[in-house]
Amino acid sequence: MAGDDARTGEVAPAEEEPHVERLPADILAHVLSLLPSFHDLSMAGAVSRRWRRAVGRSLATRRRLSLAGQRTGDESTARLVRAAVNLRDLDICWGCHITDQGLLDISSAACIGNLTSVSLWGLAGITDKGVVHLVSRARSLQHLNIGGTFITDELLYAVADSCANLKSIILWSCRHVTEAGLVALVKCPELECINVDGMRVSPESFAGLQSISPALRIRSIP
Amino acid sequence: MATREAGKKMIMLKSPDGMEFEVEEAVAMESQTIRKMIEDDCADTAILIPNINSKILSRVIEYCNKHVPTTGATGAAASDTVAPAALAEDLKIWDAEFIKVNRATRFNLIQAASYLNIKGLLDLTSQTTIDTISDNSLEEIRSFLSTKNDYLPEEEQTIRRENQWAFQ
Repeated sequence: MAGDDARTGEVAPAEEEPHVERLPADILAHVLSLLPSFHDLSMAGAVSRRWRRAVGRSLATRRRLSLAGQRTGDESTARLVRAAVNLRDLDICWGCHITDQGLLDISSAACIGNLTSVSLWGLAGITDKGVVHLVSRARSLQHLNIGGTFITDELLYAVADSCANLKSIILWSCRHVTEAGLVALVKCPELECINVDGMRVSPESFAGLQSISPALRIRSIP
Repeated sequence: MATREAGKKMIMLKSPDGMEFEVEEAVAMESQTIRKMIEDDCADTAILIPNINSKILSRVIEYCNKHVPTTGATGAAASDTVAPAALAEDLKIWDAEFIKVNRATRFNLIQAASYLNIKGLLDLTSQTTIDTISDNSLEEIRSFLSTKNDYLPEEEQTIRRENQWAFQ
């Protein structure tokens, strides 16, 4: 994992003034990738230009990004996601200050087409507009958690159109979704499991879904 | 390609300042880089470690010696006599002592661990640096690690604005 600079760079005598800047860029990026929180990562990026590049590099190696509980807004979240070019699993949930604009910005990131898992649960500031845009680009999506948001059937129509690989979806407390949306959704060929806890859909409707898709697991416990 | 001593395969590691270290092959193979050389038969009677001086290399070997899955002097596996949990605890204490070095040595160890691909040592040495960054202000990080702030004042303003959520 050592880069060329690590192999050719001389290790200075230990007596020399200790200086973190002597670490080659790739090793600095590795060290920073161990930072436990984005708060720390953000701080590290503000230390110097070199550190900012190292932070970018460490983000590029990430497969998973969880912003749960961080107070990131539209711009900062989109910047992080754009830097994380190898991302597969994105968790922007409760606590983030994300609006549809943030989701539109995130949708143009390089990693979006490769995401297999997205969690947006509990984001009160997002609507169909932003999420539809996101899922229409996230064509590899297998798991979507959209619980506790104000999305409607519109989103489920878009998911059914775009996400042919969808395996599970959490619709916990999506109170604006109706039976029509669920019927469209269960046509996703790979769909195995939906979580419908706290929705305003009648038990008869769920029985109807089950008859369309007998193997589908319909869960009502989060 | 290697000498034998007390039934254990030995290997010679050479630092660029001319020091030689004879170590058990199993110890040397804690380094994935060296393991690859040995497995690919690229290792001659001695392996030159090109960019790690003897002072650092001896510390690295000390670490590998401690961390190699041990068989005791009698040949009985250490895990037969010592509970794994106690062993892990002992290693943790040992690691904490091991890493009490000055910053120059620590940064050299990070580089050596990365080059030799010794994950445990890389994590240990990196973590100490991470602890310096976590939960500290920007000014503290810069002073602890004596980094140079090369941002122009207006650039720094922009970055602070962008990252306002983190600076709050």
